[in-house]
Amino acid sequence: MSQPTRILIVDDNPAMAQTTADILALKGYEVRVSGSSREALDLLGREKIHILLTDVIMPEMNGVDLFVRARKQQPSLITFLMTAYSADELIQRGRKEGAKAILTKPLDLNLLLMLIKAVEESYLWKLR
Amino acid sequence: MSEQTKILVVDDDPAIVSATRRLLDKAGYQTFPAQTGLETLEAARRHRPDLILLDVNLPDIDGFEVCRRLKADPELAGIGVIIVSSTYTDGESQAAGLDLGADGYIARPVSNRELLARVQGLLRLRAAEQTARLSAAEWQATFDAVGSGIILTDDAYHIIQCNRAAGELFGEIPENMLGKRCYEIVHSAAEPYYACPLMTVKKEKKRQSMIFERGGRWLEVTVDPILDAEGRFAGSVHVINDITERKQAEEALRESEEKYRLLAETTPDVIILHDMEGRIQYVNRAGLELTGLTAEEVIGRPIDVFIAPEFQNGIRKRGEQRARGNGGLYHYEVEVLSKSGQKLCMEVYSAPVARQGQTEQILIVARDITARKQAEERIRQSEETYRNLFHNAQVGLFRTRIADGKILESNEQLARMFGYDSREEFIAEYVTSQNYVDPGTRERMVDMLRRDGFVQNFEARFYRKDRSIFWARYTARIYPEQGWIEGVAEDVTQQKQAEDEIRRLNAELEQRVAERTRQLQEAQEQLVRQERLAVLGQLAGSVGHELRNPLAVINNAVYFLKLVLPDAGEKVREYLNILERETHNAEKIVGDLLDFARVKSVEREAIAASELVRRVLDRYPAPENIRLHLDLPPGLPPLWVDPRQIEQVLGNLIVNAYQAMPEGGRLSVISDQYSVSSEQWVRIAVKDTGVGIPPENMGKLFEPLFTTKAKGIGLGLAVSKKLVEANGGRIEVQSEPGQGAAFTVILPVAEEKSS
Repeated sequence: MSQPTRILIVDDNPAMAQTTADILALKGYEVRVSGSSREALDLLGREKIHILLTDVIMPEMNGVDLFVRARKQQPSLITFLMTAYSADELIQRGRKEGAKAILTKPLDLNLLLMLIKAVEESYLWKLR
Repeated sequence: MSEQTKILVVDDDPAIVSATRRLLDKAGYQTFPAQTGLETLEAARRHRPDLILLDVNLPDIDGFEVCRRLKADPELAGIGVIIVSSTYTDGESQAAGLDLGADGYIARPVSNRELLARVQGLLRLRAAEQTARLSAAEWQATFDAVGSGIILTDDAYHIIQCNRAAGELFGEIPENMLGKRCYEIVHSAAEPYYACPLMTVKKEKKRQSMIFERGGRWLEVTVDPILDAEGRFAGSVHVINDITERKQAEEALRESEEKYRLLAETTPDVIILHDMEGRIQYVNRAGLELTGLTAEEVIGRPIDVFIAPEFQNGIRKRGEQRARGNGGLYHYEVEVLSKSGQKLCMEVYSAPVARQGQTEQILIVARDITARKQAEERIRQSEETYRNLFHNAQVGLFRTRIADGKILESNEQLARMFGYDSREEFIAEYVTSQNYVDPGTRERMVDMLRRDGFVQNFEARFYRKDRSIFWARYTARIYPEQGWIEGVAEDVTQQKQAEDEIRRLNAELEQRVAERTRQLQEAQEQLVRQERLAVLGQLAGSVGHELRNPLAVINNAVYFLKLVLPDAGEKVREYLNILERETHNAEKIVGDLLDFARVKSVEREAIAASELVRRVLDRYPAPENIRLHLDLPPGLPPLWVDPRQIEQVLGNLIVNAYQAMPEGGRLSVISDQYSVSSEQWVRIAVKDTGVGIPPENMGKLFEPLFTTKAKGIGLGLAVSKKLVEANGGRIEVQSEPGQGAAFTVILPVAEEKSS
């Protein structure tokens, strides 16, 4: 029996995190939710996460820094960045650091599901 | 005596008649017979005898009666009559016969010798008488024929003879003057005239003359003495002539001479008479004054003394010409020396003065024309000065006819101004009224002249001879009486051109300044706008960000609901769809806002305009009620732009066009090449056939937040403009209400790599 793909959603807006989590859970994914980068890093220290879906702009620590730190804890982590902005330096940096996708808010949920599926097929099976 | 003496022999006795005739015929006379008184008268009439021997006893009328009738008849009275009678021999009868005019009486018997002697004696006497009578008549006739009055007086002033002329002189019948004293007649005086020459004549016994006036007539009397055999004064002869006319002629001559003398002496002209050797014989006062010499110093000296040396030769030659007979009036000018040594110019007329066909003197009338000459010279110099001024003037000087502007006078400069080489030709053919370029100009000018008398700096365009046009500026004055206009003109074409150029440059400068000002204002406005937009951008960025988060949540929520409520009622599904759509609209607005606010970098590449249009039309296909018209020539150079940005622009324009034609229409997308000052551009025009743009909106179209749509926040065209400009191009719009709108994007082209 294959282990379900575990996705960590990080967003300082709990409603955003909650709704996204609910949709993914409904689609059969194991979902974790964090309201901040620190909280997310704690969780990443405790638990294996396959896909990190994080907001970029957040207080205390932004999504890209989170992604960079999280990757040190879990090098195989696949990261999708979410942003309300189309392009800025932070996004560019995220892209350079290896973020697999950059999604603009509001999220195209079909696209998100498609991406998750593609990631599962391309990477996750090998890693598991 | 050329003719034979004729004798008529009358007697009633034929024998006597016959015997007498024989006697007389023998003596050489021609005889005629008569026997009665009537026969006698008839024969006397017919034969005109010199003598009639008349018997007294005749049968019809007696001899006395015949004698009486003969003497009574003037034609026959001159015939000599000798009465021959034997009956009437007494003294009584003889006296009676002689009383009747008979010339002789012979009593019979008489011897032949005595008869003949008596006849001969009588005839001789009669011949003598006849001669005397004729001589007296001749003398009287001669005396009377003399034109001078002649009066003979005795030694006591009595007039003893006078002729007809004397009578006429004194208004008397000559016979009535006889016996009167001469002074009574001649001087109408009662005693001798005090100056009577007769007394002197009487004393000195020689001729004396006197002129005296009588009744308005001038008489000249010459008295000669008549001396008797012993040399004593016996009387005198007065010869009297009326010399009134001579006197008057003399007087007139004297007056005339005086007049001429006065004239000669008072005239300012110099008058000289000189003889044929050139010696001066007369110089008038003017001549003396001129030379400063006295008459004594001049008279007899040669005419040369007056003449300036260089003219003396000419004078001599003229004298020689005259001597050769080339007479007549000469007219010439010479210079003479005045008393102060000054040379004076004289105008001279000279004429020969002839006496009996022989030229004896030369009359010279000379006038000092030095002043006139000098004046003439001054006038000539003045005229020359003015002529030079006139012709060499660097402005045009003219005189034209008021009526039609015909050139009456012009200087060279004016002729040149009008394109003529020859001033004469210009004057001959140029009429200004036909050569004003602008109609009505001349009329306006003439009106001003008539109103003010002059025009100043009037400007008008004229045709030159070759029909080229120039600007003349002139100042003129009108002379209505003479019918002309005079003035000064100059060609101000270059000036005008310069002025026009200055004006043009000024205008251009103003326009440039305005343009620059506008640009600066625009730049300033742009700055302000950009500043504002920068603020707006920041605001929009944060607002967009903040809005995107809730939108994202809503979007998620809707998605979730749709997932968890697949079997929801129709209404719920519809409302979920509304939520989903409006979330998208909101997201689109936020996207535009963020696009506008964000400064994007331009990533250029070479791409064909047609490819961009194709991509956009793929993304936004035309609604069914809109026809597409594409004109995208393949040969256009590729654009050098950021494709995504220009696609966004074209997409905006095309979607706007669709929205402008809700009822359908035609969309044209036309591309062409466009060059401005050697720079190459490509234009892409997007035209619709919609409602068009109201003029008042044209200026605001590209401003941010301007919209006519119910939806949208009005950033589409502003973003398009910004993007086009970021790509180095520009965007333009043309529209008229009801005629649709055309947006044209002008974009730079890729430089040809091959070159």
